[in-house]
Amino acid sequence: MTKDLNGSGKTLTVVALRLGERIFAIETSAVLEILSPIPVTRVPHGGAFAQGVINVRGGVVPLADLRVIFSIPKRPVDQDTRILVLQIPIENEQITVGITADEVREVITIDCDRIEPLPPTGTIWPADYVRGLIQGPEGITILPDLNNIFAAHIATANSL
Amino acid sequence: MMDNDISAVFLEEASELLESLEQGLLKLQADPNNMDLINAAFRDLHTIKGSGAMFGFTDLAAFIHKFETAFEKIRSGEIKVSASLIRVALRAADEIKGYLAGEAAMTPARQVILDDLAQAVSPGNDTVEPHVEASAEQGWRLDFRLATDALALGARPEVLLDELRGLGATNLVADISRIPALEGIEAQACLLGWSMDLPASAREDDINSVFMFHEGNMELNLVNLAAPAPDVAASAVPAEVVVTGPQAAQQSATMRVPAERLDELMDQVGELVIAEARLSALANSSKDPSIMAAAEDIQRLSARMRDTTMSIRMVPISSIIGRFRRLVHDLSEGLGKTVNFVVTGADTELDKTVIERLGDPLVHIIRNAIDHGLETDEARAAAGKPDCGTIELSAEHLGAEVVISVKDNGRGLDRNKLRARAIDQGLLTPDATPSEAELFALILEPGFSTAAKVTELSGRGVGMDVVKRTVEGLRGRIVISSEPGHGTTFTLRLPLTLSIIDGLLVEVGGDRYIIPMAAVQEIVELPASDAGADTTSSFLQIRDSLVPFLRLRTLLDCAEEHNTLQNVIVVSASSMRVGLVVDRILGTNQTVVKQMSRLHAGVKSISGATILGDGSVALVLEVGNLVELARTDLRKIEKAA
Repeated sequence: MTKDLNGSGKTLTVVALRLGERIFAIETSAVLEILSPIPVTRVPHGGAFAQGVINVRGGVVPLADLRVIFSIPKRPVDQDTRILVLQIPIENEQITVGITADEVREVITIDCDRIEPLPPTGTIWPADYVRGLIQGPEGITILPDLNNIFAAHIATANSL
Repeated sequence: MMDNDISAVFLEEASELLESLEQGLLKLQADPNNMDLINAAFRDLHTIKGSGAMFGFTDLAAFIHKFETAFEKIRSGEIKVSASLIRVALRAADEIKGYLAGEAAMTPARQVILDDLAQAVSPGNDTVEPHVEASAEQGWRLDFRLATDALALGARPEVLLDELRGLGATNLVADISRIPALEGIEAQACLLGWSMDLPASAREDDINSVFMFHEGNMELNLVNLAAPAPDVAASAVPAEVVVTGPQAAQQSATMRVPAERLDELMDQVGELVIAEARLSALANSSKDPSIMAAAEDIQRLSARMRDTTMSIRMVPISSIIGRFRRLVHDLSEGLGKTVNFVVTGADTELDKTVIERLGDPLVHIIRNAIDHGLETDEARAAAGKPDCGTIELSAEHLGAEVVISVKDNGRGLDRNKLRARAIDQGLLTPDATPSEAELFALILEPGFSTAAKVTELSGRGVGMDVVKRTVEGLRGRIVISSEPGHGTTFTLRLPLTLSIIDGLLVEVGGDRYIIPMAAVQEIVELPASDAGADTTSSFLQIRDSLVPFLRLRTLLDCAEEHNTLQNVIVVSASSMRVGLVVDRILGTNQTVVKQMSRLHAGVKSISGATILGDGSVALVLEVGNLVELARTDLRKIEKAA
């Protein structure tokens, strides 16, 4: 499940963020900007994952919630809440999306050799949605597979 | 260099002329003695030839020259227009397309077409004595000199001379009197003049038309040697424009602009409108009358600018109807079915991008209608129907929608066959009881075809599923209705997906939404007695009609709590009047509609989003789809009433 990340002594620069009690890592190359909480416009019938839209520099950007995918309980917006604006390639097209983070921690560099696959059993997460895990002193960091997550959501959105 | 640009302009112009030529030929078929049509077709040919030669499409020019020669006989009245002539002329027009696409060679097929063309205009039973020009015997004396910057602008004198030679020019002499001393020569300047004799058989129009791209910008002196010599002083002035008044007028009145620049302009007007909204919000909170007045001025100006910019992008649907006429003509010949093609509302205007994307789906629907919908002439006669099949294309604006329908008077859809086929394909369970509309909608599913055999015509190109996808991509809907033995109608309903609209800003459950003004008919207060009703919708008495209404709170999944003073916005959608209950009306504004991302592609009740003056996002309601969503509920109420 580590796919493209296997071995080879490469490193990955990521933004570490917290959703609930879990730490996730998103490649810095996908992050356009990090915003403090801004008003969110609810999209009726948008689904739990893509509930709203936000104004990012004059553009209308969908706001998605990874907590829904990873079954993490939502918590109210507080002073640590941030919105990460990401650019994700879907079918030869870059789409801009925002995701909510309960806290953005730091930018770290990780060795690709340390990335482990998701254990085949005993996890509640869909295997397709995780690129790998990193064991650290503070616990497990999850590398979500954003391409798969968003591509799957778009596929369901279109079939509605 | 700018060569590529120039030849792109030529190609674009040539394909438009070709389109006009094709239309002209088709009209000629119906009205074979119309001299205006004949002249227009001739002019189209001649212009393509002339500019083609100028841009180095010499093979094309040679081909058209022969085409033109044949057509000349029609223009002179020597030969009458016949159906067979039109047929071969259309084939020749197709070859011109090939040349423009870069197939330059004179293939045997092309030779055959030229031969056929020559054959079609060879003197037959209705030959008329060729006209003899009054100015006989002595012929013409021609002197001409192009403008000095003509070469820099792409003129090619050798091509002009070749054409004149074609008209029989002799005694050609170059006039070098204006060439200065060597140090004064500019390499790009055209300093030569030419003089020559032309035979009396050359017509004045033909001679003048050689110079049609230089008119008004050159010296031209054409003297009829048979006539008394004109006054010398008068003949030395620059040539007068001779040909085609209307065309010349058109050229000065219109201008070609690349589509990207219009898109760019539209984007910028969009930004302007958003900035204007912010300014208005600030001005209103400042309470300073002079700032408010200035903001109001800017608001008015930006609204006008928006309207003008949008109108630039609007194109009448007639701009793509030409393609359909040709299609109908070809299919009708190919399938041996007589088809009468009727168009209404051809001047209905739609945004350029919408029109462009609608072309292919409509071609497919029409092709289907003729191929599968209409019966053969014999079958029609046997069924006692009018002998001629009809395809009726109509377009009209209806509220915030454009409705385009394609109607045939053929055999109609076979419900049993459809059903069997759908069960076959696994699209329907054998015990399902779909409504008629649901059953018909199945023919839009991928891989669905009721035709027993796929003909060459219907087998190629896009399938009906692509039609559906394209229309839905434009946030429209397709409805199919059909009556056995009487025909089928495809109705396309498209929202006016323009990027800036006039919107009504409303509040529902604490959220703000935009309802397109074009859909709004009137606004009334919701009677207090109805305010707390638990049903999704019910009826409202407005003057002497009953209008069903829907609660947006329910449709938009808002927390259910009512305040006492709600408003009902009556909209027209899906050809019915429906009231939408909102909590509050906040005002009207210019709305720059931004597309929703693909993440929300499934949310059909929203057509886009906009950014309000305070920077927050409001969603634009797609009234048609919203009503459609609640339609089943509405039906129930209608029945109950």
